[in-house]
Amino acid sequence: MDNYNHAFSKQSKKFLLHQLIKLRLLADLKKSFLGWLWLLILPVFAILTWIFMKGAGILEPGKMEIPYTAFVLLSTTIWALFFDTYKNCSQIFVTYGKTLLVNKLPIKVIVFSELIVGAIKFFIPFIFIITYFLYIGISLHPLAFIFPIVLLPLQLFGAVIGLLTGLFSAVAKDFTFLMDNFIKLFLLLSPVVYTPEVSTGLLAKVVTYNPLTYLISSPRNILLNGQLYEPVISLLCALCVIVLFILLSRFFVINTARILEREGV
Amino acid sequence: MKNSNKQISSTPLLKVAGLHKKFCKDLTYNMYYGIKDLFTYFFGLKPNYTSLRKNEFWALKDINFSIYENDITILAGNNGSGKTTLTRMLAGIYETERGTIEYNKKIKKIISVYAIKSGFNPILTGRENIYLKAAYYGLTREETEENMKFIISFSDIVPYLDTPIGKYSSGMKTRLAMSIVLSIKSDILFIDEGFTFSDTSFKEKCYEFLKEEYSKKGRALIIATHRLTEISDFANRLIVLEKGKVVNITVDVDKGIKEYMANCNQTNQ
Repeated sequence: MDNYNHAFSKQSKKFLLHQLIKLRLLADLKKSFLGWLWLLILPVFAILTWIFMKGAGILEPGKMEIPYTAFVLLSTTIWALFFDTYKNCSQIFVTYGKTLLVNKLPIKVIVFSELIVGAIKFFIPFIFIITYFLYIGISLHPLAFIFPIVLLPLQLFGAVIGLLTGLFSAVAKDFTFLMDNFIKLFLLLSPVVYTPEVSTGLLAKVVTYNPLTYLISSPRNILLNGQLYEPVISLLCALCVIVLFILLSRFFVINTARILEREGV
Repeated sequence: MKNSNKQISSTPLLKVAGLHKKFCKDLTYNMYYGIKDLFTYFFGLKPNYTSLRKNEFWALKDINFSIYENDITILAGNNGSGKTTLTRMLAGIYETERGTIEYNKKIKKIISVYAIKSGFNPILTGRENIYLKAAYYGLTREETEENMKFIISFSDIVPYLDTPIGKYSSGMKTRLAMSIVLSIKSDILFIDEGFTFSDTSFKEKCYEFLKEEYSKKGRALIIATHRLTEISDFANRLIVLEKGKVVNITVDVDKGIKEYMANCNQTNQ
């Protein structure tokens, strides 16, 4: 007699991952007339909004190498990857709670599927944006091919905050309300619609100590000028995020059953 | 369908010893304990599983039993007696914190079925949902495709296979879900109230299949149900739960059911 290992085989995990990704993507596609077109429409809406604000003189974004609209378009798309990953990971118990209560599923596969879905949903508008950049004459740096690697820590950071929020929110919803608003605030406190150099006073301090400054600015800079923003701090941030992700995803996996039984979906 | 030859094997497939589970009945305390326990786990410590905190109760208390090869076991008990909690613990969905659950080393696959229709996605077709459900049960694509013919023929939903499942009736969903489960060669199968909303002929067909597959081939089936008489003919073991405790384990299923029913009637009076 022994403890039964409920683990899925490698092939089963692969099949489950494929099914979960398909489910998440198809669910969005089938329930909408425009489906995937929304991934292209939303950046256009974003750029129109920022053109309007710029025209109204509300924004003084600071010195930048590319037209402001292009800058904002790129930055908000990068931010969306972070935010969507945070949101999807924090909602895992909402999205899969009932399924997890009736099936012993490998939670790692679910987390991984959320990361892949986030990446797919990022890269579709991203390709659109790059095409737009080339069209308006913005050239990319030859090192742009390492962009996905430099971007990864940002997505993992979204996952770290999302998983932590998801765990606590499954017990008490206060954490979702708190973190959702906190993250929205961080959009303004991170160099998404302005460059890190533009910040002054208290904002400058917040931007300096905000890890998102480095996680957002570095991939953006790699694309445009082939350099990391504050390379040492950026690498340190990336390293911390990777370690945090490994530790936290493990903690999340171990505690899923305990959370589920307490939540009692 | 009377099983006149109820065999008892001596090879255990599953041994449960000293199993306990506690839950909290108050929402605020549940949140408080949840946060507290998460922090405890976070620092690598374990909360106290041996005693109850305020507003907690034992959902399962000192459960001991074994399930043997070819066992078809009925898990009986009133609502809230702990049947679902027990089967979820056996299936590994709930954490085992106090007590042990051990399985025979030869066990390769365990399937547990709760709320049979859950896991279906209403916007996906019947065929797409077969792949999805099969993936939830840990099957590979190849295994699912091998089982497809059986699933389609057993569920008898051919004309609706490519229709979104949201358009299916409850009975059709049950038929499809149960066919997916029955297509899987599991060593132990747990079913918690799986036949709700299915018609009598389909139910009979399932029972016949289950009897054939689980009473002769060295596997085991555990059914948690209130419909005791429907399966008493081919079950060879009865476990009765009451308020989280095992109050009767017997291989004389008919007698056990009569006693259980009498006890229920007495309680109702």
